[in-house]
Amino acid sequence: MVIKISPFFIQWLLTILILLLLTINIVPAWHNYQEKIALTSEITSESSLAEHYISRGGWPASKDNNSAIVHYQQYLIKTDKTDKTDKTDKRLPTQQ
Amino acid sequence: MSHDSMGKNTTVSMKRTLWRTIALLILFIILLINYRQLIQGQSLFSFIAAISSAKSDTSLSTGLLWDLVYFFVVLLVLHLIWAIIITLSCKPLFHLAANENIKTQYWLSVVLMHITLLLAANAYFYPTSLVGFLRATPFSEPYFLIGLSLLLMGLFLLGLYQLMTKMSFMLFCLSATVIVAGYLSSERTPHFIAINKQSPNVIIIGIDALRPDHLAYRGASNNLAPQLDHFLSQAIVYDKTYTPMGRTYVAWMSLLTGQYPKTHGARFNLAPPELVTKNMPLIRELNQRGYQTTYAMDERRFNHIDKTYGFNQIIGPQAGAADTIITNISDLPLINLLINTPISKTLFPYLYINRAYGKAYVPSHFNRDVLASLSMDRPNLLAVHFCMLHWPYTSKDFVTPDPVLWQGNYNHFLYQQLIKQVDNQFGQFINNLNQQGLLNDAIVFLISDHGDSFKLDKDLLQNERVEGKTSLAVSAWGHATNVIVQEQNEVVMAYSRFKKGKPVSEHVKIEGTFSLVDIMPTLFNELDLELSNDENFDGKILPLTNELVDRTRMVFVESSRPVNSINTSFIDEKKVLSETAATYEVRESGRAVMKPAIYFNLIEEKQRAVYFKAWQLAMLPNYDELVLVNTTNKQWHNLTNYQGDAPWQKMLSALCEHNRGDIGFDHLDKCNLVHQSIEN
Repeated sequence: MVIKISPFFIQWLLTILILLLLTINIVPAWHNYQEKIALTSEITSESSLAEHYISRGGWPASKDNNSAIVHYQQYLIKTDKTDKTDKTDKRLPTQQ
Repeated sequence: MSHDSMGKNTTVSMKRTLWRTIALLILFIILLINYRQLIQGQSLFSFIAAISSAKSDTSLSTGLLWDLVYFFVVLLVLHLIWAIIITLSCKPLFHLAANENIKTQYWLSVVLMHITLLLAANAYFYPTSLVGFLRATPFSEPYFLIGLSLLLMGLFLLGLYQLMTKMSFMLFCLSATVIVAGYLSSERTPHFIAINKQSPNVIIIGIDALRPDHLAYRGASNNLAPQLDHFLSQAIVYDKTYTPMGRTYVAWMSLLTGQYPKTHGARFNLAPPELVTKNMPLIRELNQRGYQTTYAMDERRFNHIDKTYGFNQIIGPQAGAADTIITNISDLPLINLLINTPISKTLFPYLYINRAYGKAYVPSHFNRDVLASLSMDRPNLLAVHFCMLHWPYTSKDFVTPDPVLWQGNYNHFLYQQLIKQVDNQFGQFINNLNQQGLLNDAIVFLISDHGDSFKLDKDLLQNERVEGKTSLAVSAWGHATNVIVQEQNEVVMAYSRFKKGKPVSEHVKIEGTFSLVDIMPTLFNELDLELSNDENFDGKILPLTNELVDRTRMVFVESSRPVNSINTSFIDEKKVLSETAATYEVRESGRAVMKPAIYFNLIEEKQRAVYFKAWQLAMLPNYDELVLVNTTNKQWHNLTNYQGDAPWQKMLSALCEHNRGDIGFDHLDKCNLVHQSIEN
């Protein structure tokens, strides 16, 4: 006995599957982006480890081990006031 | 294949499906690149603009263009193959479809399942990828990956079966099985059997930027590098060893020639090859003795040592200017998933075993390739350099945050975490060498090419006599940026003689003043080699006991060019490129090389120093005074104010003698102080 499924029903099933597949990808991507926005500071050198994890994707923690993200204020980066990031700054490394 | 009217429609539909798939995959790549840009906050185009804004009139060359075209063609072909696989996977479903709308929905579902599988697998295998946003979801779990893979593979095989005759399909499956089985069975561990038992293997292992004070032999108590500590605890360790110049290429050139940069001519990374002496006596002599000579390095952006320097073979990623561009744009799932397969060596020569593309770099794969390249019957000379400890500290895997190590210093925190990773790599490498019998009779040197400074409080130089501000910067970031920052110059150097897999030389820490240039004369002495008449070493034979140390020894160091954008706690690659790109030209070979005219100008800006016992005397082109540093108590002095008993006259005399005639040296005429002090 062959069960004949209505094309309309198949279309509905496939529509749901497509939406599901899109959701699977878009929601985590959006969530990741929101986290980046929430953790981004205006001055790079006053950011946190968590910001570097989100925006550079290299460090320091996974979300399974997320103390650096949840408690990101405990992992703030100290400012180096002698940073010379302006390329018009002609001082040499041996000059203050 | 069906030949009825329905079948003809299906054939037409398959072609259309292929084109639609290609279009959708291109859209997928564009979306991913844009997403990456959103997360990273800088676009690929701004990166390229930084290079082009440097007004470099020779920024494009045939070699560079070819490398980039090759990369993009490979990327395109891979996506085309992927599109064919997707299209074939749709074929069995199209046979079930009652109308075109359902076919389209089947197709879209299959494409999205493929994309999801790719993104999920990328997140699972490369969690630090910028497009690894599925990393914390159930979809990057193995059961989901295996289930979806089986489903999609089943659809593909079914589609293939419908396309081919039964016999062709069977042949395809058989061939695929044979290839996979052949690859798996080739993974055997060979064993070294020396034909010439008089010739030991010579192995020089370099760890980039490894600071001695982070290891147990210098009192570090946090056990960051147990494998390195274990090796050093059985070796002869040369305390107070300095790099002639704290840049990888220059340091290795000095080591391999036994000469200071002023002698061999490589004064900066990416020095013009025509201005560098490529004569490496050890490589030449060992080649003549039947050795296989190998140079291996897991990052070649700044170090272009290759076969033209005499080595039989080079292991590592391809060297060239395309490296910087390709490693910056490659974080895409399909590339990541292929990067650690054997075919990647051909497909992505700039990314394969390349530490600079840290998100996909697997240290054990580099080790495997190096070991597989070694001769199993001839003696080997192997010079291998591990670069994981160098900025930008990227890693394939996350590392557990350690609040104990966190002091608010981002670079130093990451540096300490990466020591653990490079320590594992080193430990595994030594074990594998031993397992393969390569340490049954071997001379092993462990070195670092330079240190690194992180402006740690404990590293700061002090001067009790200077009140208020001084114009002298006594701290800096990085390496070779400031010659008076001791942590940039001090390196690890240890020697161990192995017999039957075990170190036989008795452990001792030798106190003295040493340089990386000492390794070559030591090897020549031990291997009973001789230099040609017109050759000489700047280095000295290393003593094996403290009693044999030459207490009159002085060693010389110099800085690199001043680059403000790297002397900072947060290095922005765009700013570095913007500041430095105009300094380089890209040759026809595709390699970036410092422009010769600029090369000579930059030598004028070098800082130079000499070490003697606990003292360093530095001559800085932009500072009016000679600077004397006591490396034991971290005190620095302007020489004119100095009242102590440091033998500065002798040091200044040696510094002047060593650098005599060098471009821009002593423009303030400080060498005259030697004569004045003698007259007084």
